[in-house]
Amino acid sequence: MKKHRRTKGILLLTLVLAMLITACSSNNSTTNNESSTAAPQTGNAEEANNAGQAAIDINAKYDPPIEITGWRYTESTYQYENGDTIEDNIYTRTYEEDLGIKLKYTWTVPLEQFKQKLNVSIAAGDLPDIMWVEAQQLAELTENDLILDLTELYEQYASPVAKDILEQDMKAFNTAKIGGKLMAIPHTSSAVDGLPILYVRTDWLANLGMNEPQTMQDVLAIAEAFTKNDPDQNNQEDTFGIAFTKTFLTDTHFGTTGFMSGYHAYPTKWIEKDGQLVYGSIQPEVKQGLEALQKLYANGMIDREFGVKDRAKVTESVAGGKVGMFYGSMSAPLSIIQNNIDNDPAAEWKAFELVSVDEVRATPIAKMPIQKYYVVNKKTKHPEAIFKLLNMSMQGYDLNVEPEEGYGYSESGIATFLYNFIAADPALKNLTAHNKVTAALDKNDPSELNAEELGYYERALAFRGGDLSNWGTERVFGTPSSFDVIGAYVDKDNYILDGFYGAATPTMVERNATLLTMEEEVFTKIIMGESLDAFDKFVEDWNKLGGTQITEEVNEWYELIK
Amino acid sequence: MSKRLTSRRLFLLGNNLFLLLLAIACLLPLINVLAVSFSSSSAAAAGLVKLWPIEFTLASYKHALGKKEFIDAFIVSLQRVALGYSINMLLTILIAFPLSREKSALRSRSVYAWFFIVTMMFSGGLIPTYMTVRSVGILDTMWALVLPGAVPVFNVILLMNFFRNLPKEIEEAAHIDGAGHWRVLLSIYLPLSKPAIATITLFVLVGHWNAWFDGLIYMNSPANYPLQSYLQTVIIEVDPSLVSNTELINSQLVSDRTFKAAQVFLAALPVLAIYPFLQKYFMKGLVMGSVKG
Repeated sequence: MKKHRRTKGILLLTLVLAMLITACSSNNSTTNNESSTAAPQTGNAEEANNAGQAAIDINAKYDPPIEITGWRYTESTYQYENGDTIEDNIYTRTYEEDLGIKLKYTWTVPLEQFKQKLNVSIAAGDLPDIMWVEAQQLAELTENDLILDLTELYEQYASPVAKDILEQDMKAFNTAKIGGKLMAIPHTSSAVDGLPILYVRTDWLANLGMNEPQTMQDVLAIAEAFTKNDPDQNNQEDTFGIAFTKTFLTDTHFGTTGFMSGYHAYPTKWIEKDGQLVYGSIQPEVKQGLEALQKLYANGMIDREFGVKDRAKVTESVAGGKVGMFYGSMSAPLSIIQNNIDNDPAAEWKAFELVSVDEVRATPIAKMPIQKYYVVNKKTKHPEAIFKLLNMSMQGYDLNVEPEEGYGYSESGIATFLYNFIAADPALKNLTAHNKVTAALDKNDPSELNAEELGYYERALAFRGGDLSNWGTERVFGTPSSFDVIGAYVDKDNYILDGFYGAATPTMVERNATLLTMEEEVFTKIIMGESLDAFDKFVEDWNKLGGTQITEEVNEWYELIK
Repeated sequence: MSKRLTSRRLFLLGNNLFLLLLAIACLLPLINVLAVSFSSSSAAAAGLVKLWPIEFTLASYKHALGKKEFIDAFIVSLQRVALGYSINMLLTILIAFPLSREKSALRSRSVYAWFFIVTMMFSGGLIPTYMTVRSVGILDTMWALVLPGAVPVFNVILLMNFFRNLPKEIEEAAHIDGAGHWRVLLSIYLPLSKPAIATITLFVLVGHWNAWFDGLIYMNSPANYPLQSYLQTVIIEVDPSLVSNTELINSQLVSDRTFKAAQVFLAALPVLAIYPFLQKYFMKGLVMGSVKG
């Protein structure tokens, strides 16, 4: 038995290798075809089985109904009404009524504890039919041969609309492929939503008679003025220029990513240089950015205590009117600045594009926007069920299908789309929503909007009617807003994505946590006044402690996906 | 002589000062949480609240006591404590009593003793324990929270040593008067062991009340979480890299610190309430068994 399995493994391995070699020169659709034609030759029982079931009508309802088990996380912000729960809601009822699928969760867990619960369950071998996992578990489950290769099933069963949505961003979609095989359905979403934006308190600018920032020099001048010239006019020197958290390297809100882009530096991200991927944090540009931050800190323009403050703490500084500038993502008006507006109705903020220190424009960078993957247990009896769920959930994006009430927001405005078990978002969903909402606001005509967009429209309208508690929605989806800035990035095609988006390489798994901690420590110390020579020492250490090896592995991966 | 006295005084002064500082360091965070919980949420969000509430309000307590998840989790915790305490105490006493006998009375005494002590030093680890609980079929039930820790070996040893220090003559006298082992345990040993029992009671109650990790691992739905597992989800910050952008927009991450503080304080209240009543036994009980008579 054991020997048999080994020969099968070797067969598979050679097949995968052969596919990889041919896949290098071809695009993805041919890769899929190759694997689907090649698969039956392996004699893999499962594959043959699937081929035998080819007669399945993907649009039909299961009769009698089947039970599908799964797991997922929930968030504290999910709301329910009329006795709904995550196990029993408009989505689960539709699954059962329209598809004949009884969805049963083996567990649900709050997002905060998802990783722990996930890892324990996988280690204990407790796998349901369909699982929510992250990139790390996707790689592990594939390696241990516990999940189903979906390549062929996807070609066969995914609806055209679903394929269209998932493949809008081919790079993102390909993260679900391992060795050329589609091992998961990725929860795609919008990459541009993660691009950093500069937020400045404009009522302070007006108080000081200053202009909106155009260059990095302006930002530094504003930071100085916000610190020393009493922008809130309370005759006390109690404000500072620009806000960062202790985890400034990776944070989306209060991070340094946007600031560093102004110096053409991209710490913690992988960028392409001469056809190779290099680690952003060890590039010489970072040194200049650190030098600027060091000066800011020395002159009191950064919170003295930024090195111990997390996001909640820094949000307090914003809410309390102590700081007037920071780099954040597009959701900052809702999640951060709204607190300031609640406290001080006179406050006003505006979102700006990143500014540059020289004549070369600043280019924002974001990570590949896939947080979760849907994978199918190899032992499932209904491998095609996930596609029924997927197709149903993607119907909402089909222009030929009349939208039905209740699947986006309920009548009373509760976000029901969060209950969906298998979801994926179009690549520019939120930007499109913004464009449609502003157009509707201009024309006073919301008839073109879908349920979700209508929610934003109504809240923006409420703000324009004087309701300050909806300031955040207006400043994200209305205008001027954070999505105006994102729209500008997209129009000018001025953004890049983290070059590495595969599962962690072996050395990364082993060393990356340590290396990141070291990086954070060294950079924090430099900002707080240590000599800039420490940066050169860091580059040397990083390479020595596994960085060189990681770079090699990352480039091996890069060769494969090129 | 007087020189020694002054140096002694200096030491006492320094010592008391040190302990006072230590006590303040422990108290301040608690007082801060209390002050935040009674403040208006905008004052708390702006970080203005230190040790005294600003814009005093009971709103967050009303909110917490009206929140179904909180109340449900509170009830689960109460049930857990009641069931877990009964099981723990019953087994602790029933194990400690025979183990406190002389070797002549219980022949394989050291074998039994080691049988329990080994589990203090070696454990199966997280995953095997989880798999055991799963195979027993008690996953997602109250039993998963109380059975894996049903025999608190440390408490058994504590009680066993206490039993040993009781004068043997009392027991012999009771036997001569015709009492059996049960009688001796129930009518003599237990009443005499009040300090030890009170100490163990405190350990067990606080242990069950504060445990959160097992709730997270063994429960399959947040609706079954005990209070501390629920609180952990409320308090820890979400790793933003996990949250999709769509969810970020819909989950306004407005930090409702007053509400969190109120829940934390309400959860700590039961333990704070029983501590004073058991404390006198607590101090006595800890040194029990350390000095052999």
